[in-house]
Amino acid sequence: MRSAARRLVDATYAAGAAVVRSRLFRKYAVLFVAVVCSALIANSLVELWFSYQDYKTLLVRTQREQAAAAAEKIGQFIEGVKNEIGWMTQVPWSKYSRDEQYLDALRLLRQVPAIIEVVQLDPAGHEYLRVSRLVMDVDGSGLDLSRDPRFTEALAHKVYYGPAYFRRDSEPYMTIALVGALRDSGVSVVEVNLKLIWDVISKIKVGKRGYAYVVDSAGRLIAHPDIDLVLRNTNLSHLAQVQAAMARVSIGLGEQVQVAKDPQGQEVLTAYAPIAPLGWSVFIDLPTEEAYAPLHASVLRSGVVLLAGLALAVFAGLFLARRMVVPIQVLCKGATRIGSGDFEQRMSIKTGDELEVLGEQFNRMAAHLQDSYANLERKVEERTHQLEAANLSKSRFIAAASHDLRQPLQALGLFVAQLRGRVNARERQGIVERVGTAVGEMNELFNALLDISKLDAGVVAPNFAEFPISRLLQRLETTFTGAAYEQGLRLRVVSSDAWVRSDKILLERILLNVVSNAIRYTADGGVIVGCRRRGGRLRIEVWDSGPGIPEDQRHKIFDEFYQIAKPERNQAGAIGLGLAIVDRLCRLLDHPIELTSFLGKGSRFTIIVPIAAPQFLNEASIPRQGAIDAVTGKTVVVVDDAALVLEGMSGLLRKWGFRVLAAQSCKQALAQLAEGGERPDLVVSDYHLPDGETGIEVIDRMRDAFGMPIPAFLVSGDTSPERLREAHAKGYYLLHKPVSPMRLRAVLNQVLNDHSEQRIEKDDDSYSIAQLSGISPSSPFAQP
Amino acid sequence: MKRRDFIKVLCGASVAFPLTVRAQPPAIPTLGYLHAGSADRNSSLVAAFRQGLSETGYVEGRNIAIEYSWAEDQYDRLSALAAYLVRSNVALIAATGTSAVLAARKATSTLPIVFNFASDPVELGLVASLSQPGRNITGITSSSAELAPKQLELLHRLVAPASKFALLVNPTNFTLAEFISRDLHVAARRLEVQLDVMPASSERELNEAFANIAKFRTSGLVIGADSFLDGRIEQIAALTFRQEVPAIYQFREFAAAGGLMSYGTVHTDPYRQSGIYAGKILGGANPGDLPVQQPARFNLVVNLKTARAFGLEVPRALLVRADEVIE
Repeated sequence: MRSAARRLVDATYAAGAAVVRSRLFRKYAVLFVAVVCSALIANSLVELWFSYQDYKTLLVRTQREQAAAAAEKIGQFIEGVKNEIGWMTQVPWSKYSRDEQYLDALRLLRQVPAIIEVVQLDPAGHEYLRVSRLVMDVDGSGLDLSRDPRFTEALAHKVYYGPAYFRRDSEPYMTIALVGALRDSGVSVVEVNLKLIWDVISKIKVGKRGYAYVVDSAGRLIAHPDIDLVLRNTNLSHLAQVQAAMARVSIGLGEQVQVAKDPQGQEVLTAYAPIAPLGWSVFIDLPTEEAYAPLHASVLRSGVVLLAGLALAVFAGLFLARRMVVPIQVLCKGATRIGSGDFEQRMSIKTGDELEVLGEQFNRMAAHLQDSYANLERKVEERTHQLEAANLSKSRFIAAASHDLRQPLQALGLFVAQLRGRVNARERQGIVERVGTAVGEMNELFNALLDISKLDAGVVAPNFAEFPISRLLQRLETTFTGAAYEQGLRLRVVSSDAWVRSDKILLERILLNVVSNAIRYTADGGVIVGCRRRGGRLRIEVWDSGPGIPEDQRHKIFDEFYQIAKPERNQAGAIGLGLAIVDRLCRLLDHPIELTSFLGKGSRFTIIVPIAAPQFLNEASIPRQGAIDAVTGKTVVVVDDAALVLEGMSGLLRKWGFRVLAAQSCKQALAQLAEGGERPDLVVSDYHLPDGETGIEVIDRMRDAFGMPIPAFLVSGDTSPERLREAHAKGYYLLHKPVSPMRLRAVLNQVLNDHSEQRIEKDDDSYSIAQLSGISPSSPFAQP
Repeated sequence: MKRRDFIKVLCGASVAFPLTVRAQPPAIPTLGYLHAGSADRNSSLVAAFRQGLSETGYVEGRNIAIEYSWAEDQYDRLSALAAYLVRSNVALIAATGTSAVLAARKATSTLPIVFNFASDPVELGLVASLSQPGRNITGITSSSAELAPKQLELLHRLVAPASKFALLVNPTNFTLAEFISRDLHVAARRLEVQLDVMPASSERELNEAFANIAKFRTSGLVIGADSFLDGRIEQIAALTFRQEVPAIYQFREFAAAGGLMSYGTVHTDPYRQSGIYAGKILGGANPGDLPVQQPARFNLVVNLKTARAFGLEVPRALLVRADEVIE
């Protein structure tokens, strides 16, 4: 069953926890990951931005430097050609023989493979000599070139760099004309095959796939690592960077880096530098893809590092969130289980922080709960056992009571059978007496049972008051003197002037029972009742010289229906409930009862009562004698609708010396009284009468009719508490049927005595005595 | 679920991959190589061609097949061979020698043709211009035909004042022979020397030619560019040496083999260049966009031993001019 409950808890927890887990876990994880990741990303972006800027700057500078270097190299190539030509113009024309010139020209051709043709002009500008690699040499053609720019420009500027041209529309050439240092040294004009710049340009390495190329002032490609492009006579003036270069070179500016398309249409990072004397530009192109490749690689690296960092952050976030959430989940789950009653649940959290402390507190709480729960269960179990024991004792009680009732019933059965037979008057008289005894026993038993039942039910409320004990002791003496005398015992009651605080009536019942018991069980010797003061309490002691109570039976004598076996004596009339009632009353009044007994010598019952301060002394405390005999000649009105009861009671009362007026209703009773002109001394009425009339109404009407508080009491078969309360409210006694003759006599005496005392003292004990209808000393009145 | 998908993909990949691989062996392209000579006499030159090819990433047998069509010096077979190559559905024809180029040009006007010859392609009407050939044909010219007058001049400077010169040409290589003899006659007139043309299109004619050269006491011999003659450089050098004929030829190998002098480009260069062009075209380049290449350097080699043997004194100007002197 516990495991089923645990499963249920687990299931509900799982449902609830799934939501909670995801919420809390997600919250922590997301928060952590977000914080770390944003920091990482921001850092990476900033770093990337700066490295991008740095790299770009570096790239631009490198490109510019490369362009400048390339321009320098091309310049050197041309300069080298020019310097070689210079050797031819060292000699003054007049001393320069044709053969020497021829040899010098041949040397120049050998020295500079790019030179395809050398033309020597005389100082007047006429062709003197032409040496070529391709065609046949020409001597002294005399061709007049004096107005040709090759001659005029060379003369004007010492050197002339002709524009690039394309031989047979394919190979780039240029003319360089140089004039000698001396006045009349003539002019050397050479044709240079620019295709050979390829040797220079193809050696300029720009990155891996970058390259350099040269365009002339018209934007035509002069040199390029891909010679095909040059031979194809490509014009690049449509390219943005070439246009920009042409514009800027013309105004003497250069060295700019930009992103543009190269001749093949590829996007490149391009820089250029001018080759000053020629008006050409050298371009350095680096495919942007390659140029930015290191940057991209670094971005990629940063990205990878960032990703790794992010992954780490995510893992760390998840891990930390888990470390935080898992103990909380354990707590949550544990609390849920404890909440559902599983107090055995203990949590194990080993985080070494507040959560662990919290877990331990939860565990302690669960332990406490478990203890209290176990305690409660134990108590319930104990109580259940008690209840079961009580139930058992009740059953035993009922069984015992049934047994004790069966005895007189059995006897009654036998007597009735005898009466049915033939019996003479003497025998019948004997049987009737025994029937009376049996009925009396049963009556007494019923009353005792009723009293025990009331006491157990707790409907008896003690009415505490301060009163002198003397009067009570005197009553005891009055009550039992006769009985003791009959049994041949001496009864001595030692009076006391002490005042006690107790319920007068209930205390009297206790003492009546104890004394009656003592008298009953004492064969010879006597019974002494006396008081001792002990520390604010009064010990009322009842001594007897009886057989004593064996040690092992002392605790049983207060049980119901317990009687010490007394084989030598007839047990008729003893029902074994007296001490059980005493025990209950003592507990009710909180008066401890003690028993001291010496086997074969006697016993002493001590009832311990709190002492009260004496208040006043009045007439009431003075015992009056002779009350018992006051009944003779008194008129009693008995009202009862049951003819049999009416007849029985009337007979009994007449026997006791009363004048009896029996009626079945109030009206009838009043009629009879009126008839005889009598005044009633006592009214005894049944409660339930014909026509809804009640006994209370009967008594009230009687009192009204005679204008005086006539003594009265009620008799009823109705044992409900309402009747009792009703009677109490009016101040009447209520006796429950069947009423034993002894009891009837006692109440008669009481009522008549009380009435006679009324002028002196207002008696308010009536309710209590009415409650305990069955409590009575059994012996002296048992036999009428 | 995901694992199952993954396995499915794996299986699919492993099945599909070999299929695509098997389906993919690309039929490697075939290149038609047309030459007037024979394989054994031109092995080093073809090797240069293959070298050029490999520089552009094409290696014979690996990603290119070469269908060699040798005319074995029988020029009249060239047209048939060219037609055969076109029928063979080759990707490109590499033609060496003017006759071979013209035969290929006649066989196809769509297949790319890479030429390697001594003539001027513009003059032959093969290309629109050197810089923009324009059609399906481009290549390398060694400019040898153009150099023939220069060769005559150089030879003339060595043997002057002798004035009886001869030109050895292969008449079956008709177009080229025409060009060279035309130009050389002009040059001879300028130099005011006599020029005889000696035809040789076979071994027999070659021997006859040299017999005539000896008979006519020729003072100098210019050997015209031609595949047939190119394949016999050493033989011709030996003939000139034996008959003490001062001779000039375009390739250094001639001077090295005992010939008097040579003036021209490096023999293997145009072969390598044409190999590169063939590779570029195979790689997707449009032949019409590839400019015709010309050599930029011409080397003069003089064999001083031969000169001495012939009793010739080499003038200083020639020695100055010579890029190489063999002693």
